[in-house]
Amino acid sequence: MADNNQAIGEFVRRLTGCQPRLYAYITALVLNPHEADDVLQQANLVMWEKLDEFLTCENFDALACRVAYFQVLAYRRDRSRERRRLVFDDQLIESLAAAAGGKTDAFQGYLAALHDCMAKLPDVQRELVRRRYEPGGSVNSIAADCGDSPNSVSASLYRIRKLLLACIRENLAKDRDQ
Amino acid sequence: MTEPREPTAEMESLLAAAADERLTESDCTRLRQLLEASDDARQSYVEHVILHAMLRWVHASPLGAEIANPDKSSAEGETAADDSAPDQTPLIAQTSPAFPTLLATLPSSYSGFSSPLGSLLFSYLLAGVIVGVGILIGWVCQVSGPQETPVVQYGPRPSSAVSPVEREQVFVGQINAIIDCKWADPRNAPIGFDRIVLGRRYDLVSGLMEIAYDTGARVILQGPCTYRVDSTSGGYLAVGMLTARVEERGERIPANQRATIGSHSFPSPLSIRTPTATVADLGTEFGVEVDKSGASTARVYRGKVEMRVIGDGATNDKVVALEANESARVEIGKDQVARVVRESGRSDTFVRQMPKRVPIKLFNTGVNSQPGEADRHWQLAARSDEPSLKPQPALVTHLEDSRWIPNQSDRCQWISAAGGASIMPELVTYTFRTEFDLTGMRASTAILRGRFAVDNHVRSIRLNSRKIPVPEHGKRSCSFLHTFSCDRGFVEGVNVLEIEVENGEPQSGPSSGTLGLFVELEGSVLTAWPEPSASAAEAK
Repeated sequence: MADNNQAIGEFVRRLTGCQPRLYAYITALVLNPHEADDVLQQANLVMWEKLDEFLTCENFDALACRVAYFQVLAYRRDRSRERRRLVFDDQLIESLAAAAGGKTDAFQGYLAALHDCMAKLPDVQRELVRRRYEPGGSVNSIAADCGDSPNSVSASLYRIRKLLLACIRENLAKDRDQ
Repeated sequence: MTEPREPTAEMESLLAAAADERLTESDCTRLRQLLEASDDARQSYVEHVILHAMLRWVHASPLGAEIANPDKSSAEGETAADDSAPDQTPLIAQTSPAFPTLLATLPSSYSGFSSPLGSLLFSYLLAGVIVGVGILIGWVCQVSGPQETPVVQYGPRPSSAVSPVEREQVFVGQINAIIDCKWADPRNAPIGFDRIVLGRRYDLVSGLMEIAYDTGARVILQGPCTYRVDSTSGGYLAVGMLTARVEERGERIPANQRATIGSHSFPSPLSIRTPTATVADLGTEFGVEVDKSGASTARVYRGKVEMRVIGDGATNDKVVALEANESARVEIGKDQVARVVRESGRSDTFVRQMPKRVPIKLFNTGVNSQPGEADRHWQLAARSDEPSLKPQPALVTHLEDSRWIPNQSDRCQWISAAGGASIMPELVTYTFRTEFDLTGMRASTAILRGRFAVDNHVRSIRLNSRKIPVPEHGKRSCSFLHTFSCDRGFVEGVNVLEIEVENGEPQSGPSSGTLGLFVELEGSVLTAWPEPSASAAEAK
């Protein structure tokens, strides 16, 4: 049958569907977004290699997070071999993984909530967020462009993120109540 | 999402610096302290970092553009929605973000059953081959380059930012595969890509797990068994069975660079301890079995091993060298003294290779028959208006109705309760049945997938009397294929798949109408492996 791809298609759909969640989870553990990219890439590779297990597992996202967690550990092991700095130790990583797992469990509506909340931001704040997070964007480059100090830009961004967080929490709570 | 307590000013400042990649060394130290000290701090931190990650995600991904620019996208969205039918949009184009590149990570480990040419699967396989070659090159570089096997050290390391916890965790290999495993403690169950930590114990109730040591040695644990990884090159088998072999490409760690736990050290590349013996590899493949009493048996398949009674190898009767096809057993005599006894003619229940997935022999409806002929693999097993009906072959049918998917005699054709135009009484349920054999297979690992088109409606699908979810489909779904799948409920031996088809629609009232079923099937299963002998099985 030309449709073994049906199963693979389903796998791809679920894998792509859980990418934001995995990326969030990994970033919570490694902090550096570029390192998170690498770990996610590696985790995806491992998931493809273990396709059979994923096809038959009952909780795809949980297993994917588990893979990601071990990839984070492996990544840290490699870094420590290279004598490179690690921000957190393993015990703290474990605690953060538990916290991140809890936060990303209810991730279904997160991006939709973020969408709504971004729409509510004033244009000038949304533009600041865009410039910070677009590829190559940084606090320093924004500060240089607008003649402000990096600290001041960083503080502004933090305030915007706080607003977004409050808004996202509210949206998710509404969803739960419905 | 539960709201953590409002972060302190200091924490806020650190969160801002963390999200903007401006943490200094002292910031890191302080952040670590705060996070270690307070759950609220951790919650707050995680919440902020997740938002930070998602902002980065949506601004770097085409999919996220809609979120990042909600005003613009909502204006454009209406046009886009009009232009594209969601079902027809290619899956990958529909869902892949710009990063990470999923397609770049496709491995070559999965193979389809059917011809992949021209299909989505072909794209996957092509990408898989490319990546597979990459992996192969990487592997070759790894094994032919300078020996970089990590040297395990327990002495003081150069001071660095490596945590005390990391110094304690020593990885000695990884799990290559886990097949149909049940664990004594499911909460602590490993998964098939875990790194193996020195000291880790595996309590396997059933199934198979393959460990690949970084030294190149491989061990297949065969449930039920209890095994602890207690060195970089071996472990302790408390009870159960395993098979071990040293790959020819294995890098061997010099004895003076190996770590051990406790007082044991091992001079060979692979060494398995049991309650009564140590079986040391001398370049070989061998099986070890430990029964409930602790008595240990070794069987050699290739090369040589040395079997030695634990704690006392001084006398000749307590150590024996075994060659290919030889077995020996360490028994505790009535005098409570252990001896090595050569054995012969043992039945072989060791698993030497991890089983492979093979296609299940399944038959699509009407395959290789002509319209009007009996289907050799599908039966009409029952009909609701004739309780006494005896199962009889279904008939291959052909209808000049452009709404029916066309027959392909070498692949799949319509079947019915009657040939010709297959006009049958309506408001009647017809049960079609096919069988397939899983003798010699591990039934619990089977996967079945199918697609059907039907005139009029599939009421239920059952595997061995157990219902399989029926996909949503209309009252006359003869133009499109609908997919169903099943991964449980299989039995060893003959399995029965039944599909109940309703003819007609309730509102049309009793009359006659066309009846037809068109089913394509595929499936795979792992070959069975020998069950442990009774003594080992009793151990659990």
